[in-house]
Amino acid sequence: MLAVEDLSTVFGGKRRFLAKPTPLVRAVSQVSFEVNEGEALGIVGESGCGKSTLAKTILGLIREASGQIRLGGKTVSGLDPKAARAARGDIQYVHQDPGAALDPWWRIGSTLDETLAIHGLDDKAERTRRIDQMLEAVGLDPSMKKRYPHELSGGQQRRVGLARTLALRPKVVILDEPTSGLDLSVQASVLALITSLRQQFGLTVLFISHDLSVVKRMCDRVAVIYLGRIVEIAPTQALFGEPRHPYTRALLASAPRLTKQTHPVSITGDPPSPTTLPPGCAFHTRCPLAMKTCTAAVPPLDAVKDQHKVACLAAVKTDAIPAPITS
Amino acid sequence: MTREALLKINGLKVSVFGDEGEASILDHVELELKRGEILGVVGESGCGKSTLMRAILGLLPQSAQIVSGEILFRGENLLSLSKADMARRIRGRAVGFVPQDPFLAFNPVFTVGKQMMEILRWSGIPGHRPGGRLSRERVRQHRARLIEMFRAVQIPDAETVLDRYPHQFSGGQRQRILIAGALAAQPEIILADEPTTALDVTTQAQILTLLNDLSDQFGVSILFVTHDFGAVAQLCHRVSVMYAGQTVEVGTADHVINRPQHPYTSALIDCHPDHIGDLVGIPGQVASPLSAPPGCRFHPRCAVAQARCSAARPPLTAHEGRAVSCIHWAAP
Repeated sequence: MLAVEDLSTVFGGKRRFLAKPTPLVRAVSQVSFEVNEGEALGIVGESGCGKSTLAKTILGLIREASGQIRLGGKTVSGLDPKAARAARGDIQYVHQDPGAALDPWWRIGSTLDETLAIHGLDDKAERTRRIDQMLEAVGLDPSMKKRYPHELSGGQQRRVGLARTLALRPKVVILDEPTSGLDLSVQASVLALITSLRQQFGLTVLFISHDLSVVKRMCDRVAVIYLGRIVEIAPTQALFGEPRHPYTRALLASAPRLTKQTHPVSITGDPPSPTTLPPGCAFHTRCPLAMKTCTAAVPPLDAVKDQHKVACLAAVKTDAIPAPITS
Repeated sequence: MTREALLKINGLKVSVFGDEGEASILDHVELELKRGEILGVVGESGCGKSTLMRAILGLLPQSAQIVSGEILFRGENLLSLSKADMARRIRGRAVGFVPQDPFLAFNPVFTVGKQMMEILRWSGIPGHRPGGRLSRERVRQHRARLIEMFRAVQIPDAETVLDRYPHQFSGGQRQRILIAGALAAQPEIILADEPTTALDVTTQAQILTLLNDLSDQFGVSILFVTHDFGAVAQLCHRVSVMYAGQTVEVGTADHVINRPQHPYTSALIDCHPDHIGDLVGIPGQVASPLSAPPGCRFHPRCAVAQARCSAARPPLTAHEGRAVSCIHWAAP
């Protein structure tokens, strides 16, 4: 359904008249993956790793520096921003902070109506019908249309965000941290809603999150990103059961689980700045398995098993890796 | 555990009186923090966690009034202390505070040193009276004390931290600096208000480990406020669960997480993505303190509620280190 090949996005690096060039930031480097129809791919990484930039590049809001994006077999990359967005109408995005994404001066109904009008649905009665239908699909009463965003709770705002996106009948939905900042009980109901909407509309989903427990529950496959590169991509079970990349293992070990862990911390320090990436594998500065060869070149994303790809010299060479840190 | 109680809160009730009547933000809050213990206070937004912290620090907003109850620190009721006493002896001195968001806690235009010295000027270091102008000698001592604390919280290049600006540090390092600042006055208790919420998971795990080590090393008790049962499982000895301003369950972290007794606790744990089985959430919404339901405040959302649940609040009854406020809790 959606295929991304060697996608890179860079910011800065431009030389302006009489000014110093701005530092070059490779926010996304040579990212490749495919998402099949009806599948949910999780994108996991810490803040600043390029998750949201990747999403915006795929959407066409940020122009890619190189690489290809194919949607349903058609190449939709290499276009100027306006044409790119038009070609990628089947991909829609649900904002991380729905409170900020809704206009505080507009009633919910008007916001939803405008979305449909912009996308060329001219029949007013049809728009109203579709809005009612979508509000019901996300578990809200159609009378919500008369409310203003501040009258809604955080969970209700997320539901409106989902309704707004789904009203456009997209094929691919990018959910950017759909539950961050929500209370546990509200998060649970939003996740249950997303699961039922996926089944109902047969959606293909890119699920961006930093919460591993949520991704484990919601996704079929997971890609782990560190400083703009995919370091490991695998079916969910394989990734959580036999994590290969030391960063993946560290992430899994760090996630606060309900069962007490015996070795809670495995890596120290902070990620390096994206403007001054270390040579070779960007993780080698914090990696417990780092070798001399790690600094020489970026390790390629190689398959270690069916569908399980890892970009690590230490993980690919030895099949007998140390036991996973988490149970 | 038979250690003495360092901080004990009995039947605390805090209300805001406004045009719409009385809103009880905290009601029947019970809490006991023992020496050297890490106690988790868990609850969702609006359950009164932050108000509880403010009450302990004597920083309630003017609109809020303490209706009844007491906050005993080493047997002394903090609620009867004068403002000056609170400022001089308790706040920042005996009871340290680590704020939630390390990105908002600093003023970006002053060096870390300037801001940390300001904290120490008021909280003082052991053996010094707080407040007033600092002599050159005192400044030197304070700097030395802070650098020592920066080492304790494992910030690289501890000597240079004071002369740098907040933006030169990552979120995790800023949180370490704030913890160092709270520790510098050698407090007996640290109140940590969701100190890991704004951080990434790897950093979060590092901060949890650090808090655990510091508690051992300095013998300081920690009141760890959070909404994350995962963090509680990793760090806390005991946990107190709050719902809509009331303490509903207290017990060891292991018991409460694995064998919750109150229907709210068990519903909340079932909402954790780690939980096996379907995620459903809790029907309804948290009651507003303005129109708190009578009796047990959870009964309108409770799956096992009965008619008598709305009649009277079930008392928090204790049995073998476990206390639950529910009619279904059969304490012998």
